[in-house]
Amino acid sequence: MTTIRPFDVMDLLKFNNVNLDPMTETYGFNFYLYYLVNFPEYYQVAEHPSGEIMGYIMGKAEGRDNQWHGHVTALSVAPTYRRLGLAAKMMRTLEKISEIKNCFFVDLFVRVSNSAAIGMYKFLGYVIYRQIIDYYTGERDEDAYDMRKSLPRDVGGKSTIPLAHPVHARDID
Amino acid sequence: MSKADQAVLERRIRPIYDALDNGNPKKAFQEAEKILKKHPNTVCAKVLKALALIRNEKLSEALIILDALDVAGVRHDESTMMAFVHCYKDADVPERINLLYERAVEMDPTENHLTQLFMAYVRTKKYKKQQEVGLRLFKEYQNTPYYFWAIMSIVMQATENPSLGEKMLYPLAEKMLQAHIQKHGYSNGAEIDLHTMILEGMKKSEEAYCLLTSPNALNLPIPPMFMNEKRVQLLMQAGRYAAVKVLAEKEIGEYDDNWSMWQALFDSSLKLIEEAQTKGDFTEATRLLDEMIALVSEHCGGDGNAPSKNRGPYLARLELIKRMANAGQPIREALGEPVEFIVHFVKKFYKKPSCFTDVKLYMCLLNEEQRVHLNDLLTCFISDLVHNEDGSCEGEDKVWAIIVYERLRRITGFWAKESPEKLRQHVQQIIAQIAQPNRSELAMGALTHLIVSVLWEVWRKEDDVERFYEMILLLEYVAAKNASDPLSKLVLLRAYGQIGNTTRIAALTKLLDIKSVQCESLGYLTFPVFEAVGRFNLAVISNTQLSMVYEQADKEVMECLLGAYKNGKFTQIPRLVHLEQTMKMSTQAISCDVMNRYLSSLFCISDLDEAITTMYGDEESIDWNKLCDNRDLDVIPSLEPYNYQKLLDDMKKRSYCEFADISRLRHLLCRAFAAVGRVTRSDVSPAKSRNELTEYVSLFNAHLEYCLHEYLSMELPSRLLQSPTPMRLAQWVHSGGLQIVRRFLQVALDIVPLLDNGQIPSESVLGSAEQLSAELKAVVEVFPREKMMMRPFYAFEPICAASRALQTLASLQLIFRLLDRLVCRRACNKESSKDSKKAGKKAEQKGSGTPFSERCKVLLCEVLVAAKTLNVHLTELFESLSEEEILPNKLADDLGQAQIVLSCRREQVDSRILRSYVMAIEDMQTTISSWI
Repeated sequence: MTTIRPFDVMDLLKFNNVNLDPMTETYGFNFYLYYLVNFPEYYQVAEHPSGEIMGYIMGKAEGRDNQWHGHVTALSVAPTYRRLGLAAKMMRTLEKISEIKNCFFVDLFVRVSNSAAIGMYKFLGYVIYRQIIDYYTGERDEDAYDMRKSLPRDVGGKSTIPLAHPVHARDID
Repeated sequence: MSKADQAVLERRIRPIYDALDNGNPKKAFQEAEKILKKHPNTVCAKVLKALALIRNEKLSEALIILDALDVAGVRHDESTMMAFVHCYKDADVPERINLLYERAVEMDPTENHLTQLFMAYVRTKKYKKQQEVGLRLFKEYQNTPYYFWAIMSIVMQATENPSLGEKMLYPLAEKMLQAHIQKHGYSNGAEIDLHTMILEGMKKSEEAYCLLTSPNALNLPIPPMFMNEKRVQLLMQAGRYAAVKVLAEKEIGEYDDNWSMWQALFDSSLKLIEEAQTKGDFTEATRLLDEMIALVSEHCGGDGNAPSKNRGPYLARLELIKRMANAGQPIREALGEPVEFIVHFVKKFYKKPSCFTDVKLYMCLLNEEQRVHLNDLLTCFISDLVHNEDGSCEGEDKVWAIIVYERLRRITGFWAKESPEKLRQHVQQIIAQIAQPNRSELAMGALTHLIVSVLWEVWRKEDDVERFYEMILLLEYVAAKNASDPLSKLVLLRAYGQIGNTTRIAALTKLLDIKSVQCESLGYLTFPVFEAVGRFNLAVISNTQLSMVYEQADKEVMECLLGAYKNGKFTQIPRLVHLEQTMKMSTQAISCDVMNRYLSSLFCISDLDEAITTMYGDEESIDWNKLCDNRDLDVIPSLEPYNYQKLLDDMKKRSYCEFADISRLRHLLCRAFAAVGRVTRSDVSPAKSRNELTEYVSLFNAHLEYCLHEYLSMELPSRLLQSPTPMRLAQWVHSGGLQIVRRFLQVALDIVPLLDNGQIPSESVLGSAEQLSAELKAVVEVFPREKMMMRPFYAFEPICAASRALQTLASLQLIFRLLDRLVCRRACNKESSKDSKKAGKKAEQKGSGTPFSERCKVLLCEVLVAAKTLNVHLTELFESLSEEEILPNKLADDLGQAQIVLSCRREQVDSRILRSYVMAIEDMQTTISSWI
């Protein structure tokens, strides 16, 4: 039982149960608010009947011409609310809004070690488009997969044909 | 300025900006000086020099430069204007940006200057002026967004003044918007957002709904789910319950896990039932009720329908029972039995980690008899499941079944009814489950939570430190094995906050990666710990870092607010303003600033004038009644019986009062001290300084009296698992130290009129050295002599007492220095400021031989004697520390194999606790050494 609703600024003070998970990064105010001000339609929160935040997704639309696409910036579900299909539900809504915005595809980056997430994205129809070397830096440098899913506008699924070779993080847009 | 000149200027000032961006304001200052030596007329470099001074915390010097440059009738280039803006933002005087651009607009009413002026008004919430500038921009540059800025400014005035909003402002905003739409129609989402907001403000929900269902809104890039929710909300406000019902039923038909639509269905149906009953149409009321029940039942698999795989409908039928009961409607048999529904839910969803959290919401529906029934049914279920050998429920699934069963038994009070021996068996069995190889981290966390709830409660109710210690050992074991579970680390933070294990607290905070906005909501876990144990330098460092988070947050929220105007995201504007206010009025932010002023003046600043300035703080007064409590005290969920909620609610209220009261007391103490110092400051008018002295000493006295009365000496800090780390206000106000300080603040208040009349006060007003010595003896007596009284972790209390004593001694040193200076300077009629420091010093030397001054010195000596005594006590405490003495000797003799799990990290835990106490003692002894 879930309410999927738009993000509200006061959620920042309530999302500890989601963000204390070590795989979820906590950013500065400007990060969350930038997305809120620029892409509110992409910013969804799943709320439990108790009022607790179960998870959230944030994203944006970017690119030009046939690279115009929806992008998943962050997706996180609190440990207690996993195995409920929430991530998939929020992803589908994000895809829907990208369709409304006439995007060609949706993409996201994921750590190559995060097999659970990669499995879920594959289940949702995403393919590994390319590997990006040293995309994640910090305490744990790691490569990322750029995973993509074509939307109806991308007739023939041209945007998701995998690249044969990995690219370096510095060479991507 | 030509483009070439601008480029030259930019190149010239680049090194200053680089140094500022690298967080090196000293270098920036030097770079500015270098440029000004070569090009003395570079105004931008002068302004950036002021910025460097501000960032070096030399605000008054910076303001002298800025005041000289930012004057009417002078034109500045863009770089210089931006440098001014940075200065005023950093100096926290945003009103100066308004003036800066008002003057610029007067000279050059360019689009850029007007836009900047609009944004300056946004920063300072001058909505009326925003409106004027927005309209002027629109009239002069015919750019539609400026028109919307003006309208939004009117909406903000209406939110600020609802009565005027209803009568005049919203109608005006709507009229302006309608005028635009009639000419140009709706061209994008901004107009629709704005119009909806205005209509909602005018309570024209029906019209707002129509707007959102019009073809104009259909192409808005809003997820259909969000749009429907908004429509439902508007229809409810408009009282169109039948339409809500239809829409909700349709949405539920498409996705039956949508909680807000079930809510909308129940809200609207209950309203319709109520209306029918009022009209006496009981047939209609019954039909509506039957429809609701039928819909829920249909989704749950009734009448031959396929049962839903989602949790929604099964929770909805429990919700319906709850709603009917709350609405005073008779609960019809057709609704069914809550116990059976709960059991059905558990059987269907026990593998989901959220199962317990879901059904917990409806345990309030059960009476004692029903709880017993639930327990019986669940016991049968679990027994079947555990003994079932058909392989339908294996491994991890079985563990989740046990977890939900035990959690429910705990919150329904069945664990509380068990004998201590039986409970120990539970603990033993659960530890064995935790230690199973391949146990998932999520299940491990849930099992640990169960044990924590038992052991914490035994400690809370029976003060059983051995169980408390067991819990710490188990949590350290889980924290080491289980990287992803935050619960063990959070509970450890709570536990260590109770016993002062500061080294581990710092490490755990880092491990949990608590940062940015989390510092605001979780700061209560760590905020008081370093001050409590006398590690004042660490407290100041940690508070300074926290202050930087708030400064950064303020800037970032403000930039996003400006961005919302620029991007036409009008619906976000009131919420961003609300967030900005919430952060500004955060009790945590204010308390952090207050504690920093207090501790740094007492322990880090030697210069008396600087200490006075720091203690005084910002000119602005704090409205303590308007502060916000943003503590996330539910971050550690409760597994206690339903009546625990009352305790939780009470704790939240009381602990918040204590949080605000202790910070207020520190603030008033700081202000009272600063007021004594400001009597002889030439930069404060004599009338103001005397008023302040009277005001703050009396406010401090009154608040101290209130705290003494409100926080009784025997009162112990709240020990709920969800409580914040104790602030120990009762212990502070009853320690005797503040009463001594108060005596000398009163002396200051009494002698100023004498001094103003040209009289030299007698040294007798200070009391004798013997009197002070006797008073201080009690304050520094922190170490219990009777070893018999020593219990595990006993060192923590004397360490806290020593910290309080040190604060008293530091306060007394400061007040004696202030009193001495006050009498010397006033006696010679000299007042000090930074410019006349020399004169002040001379006066002090001249007056230094007076009996009053001599008595101050004698009293200072008494403080140092007390400090030496405290040092001796700390050494005794240090010598008494050993793992055997300080930690429980017995460890879970009755837990069999589980004892091995608990012993795993014992050595490390013990040494860390001991090390924390040693470091606290060493830090305090270092402070004392610096005095002697």
